[in-house]
Amino acid sequence: MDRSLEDRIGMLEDIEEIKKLKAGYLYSIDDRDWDNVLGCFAEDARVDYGPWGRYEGKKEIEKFFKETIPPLYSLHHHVTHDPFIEVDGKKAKGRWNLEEAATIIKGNKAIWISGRYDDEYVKEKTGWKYKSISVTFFYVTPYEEGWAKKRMIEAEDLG
Amino acid sequence: MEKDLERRITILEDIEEIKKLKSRYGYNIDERDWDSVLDFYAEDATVDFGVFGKYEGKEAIEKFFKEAFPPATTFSMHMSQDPIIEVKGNRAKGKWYLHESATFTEGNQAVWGAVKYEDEFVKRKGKWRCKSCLVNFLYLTPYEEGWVKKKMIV
Repeated sequence: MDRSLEDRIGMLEDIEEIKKLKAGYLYSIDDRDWDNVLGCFAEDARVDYGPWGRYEGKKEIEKFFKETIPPLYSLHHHVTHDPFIEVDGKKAKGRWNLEEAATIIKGNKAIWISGRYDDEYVKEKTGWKYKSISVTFFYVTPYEEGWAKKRMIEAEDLG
Repeated sequence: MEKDLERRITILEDIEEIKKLKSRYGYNIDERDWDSVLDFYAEDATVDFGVFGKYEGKEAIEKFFKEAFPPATTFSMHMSQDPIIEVKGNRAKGKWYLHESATFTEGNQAVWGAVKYEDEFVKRKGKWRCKSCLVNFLYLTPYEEGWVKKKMIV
């Protein structure tokens, strides 16, 4: 009986930790705390950020965050909704909706972004980390136009 | 073993309670149920609503919600996201993003707002309430303009 309760509590704690991992990752991106962002990833993590590229391993991900993002954007504000998390021992999957407000430095342009995260997680000694992140974008649209007039901004205008 | 399980369950329950408390708070503001809004706060709570002022004690917070807020806003929808809640016994800290759509009475102006909350909570007689609420605006912008053209409408 105790063991079963232990397993059930452990799963709820894991789900809460994964939610905190996601929230902490996004707060850190928005605050530009890149070391904290990197701390969210396993060493062999891989990411697919759609038009912003694919990266394998923590070194490449670090380069993306520290070198690619700051010259392109002066603001980003990520919020997530509707988490769907499934834990299986020391592995887990998560799906989230994403909304983001951002400002592209080139042209000082405000954009709305909407997408979906499909994540995989692994439980390491220091806690849950991202094994992979994949983002599907529903729209990346200029503020003044909206997704009906222009669903996806041109790649060269992304920054 | 049992005591440890009990402790862990209580933390999880406390986290859920605090999330519900915050959700209800936003919902009650939007419903303009001010007495229910005030139930979010401890008697000795302090708030810092940024450009909308600082208030100490439940009486001052009540005055803000019942007298200042209603004439200034005809519509609001508060949506809180990304909670990070840390519970330590009868105290807790909570961080959220808030996304808001609202209409200001003056000029019948639609606005988008984005806020970061950093709150402290206290559990007294088995009930969690907010001890302090700190609001940082990322933007509060006229719908037609956006945060680049006008980051803060006030």
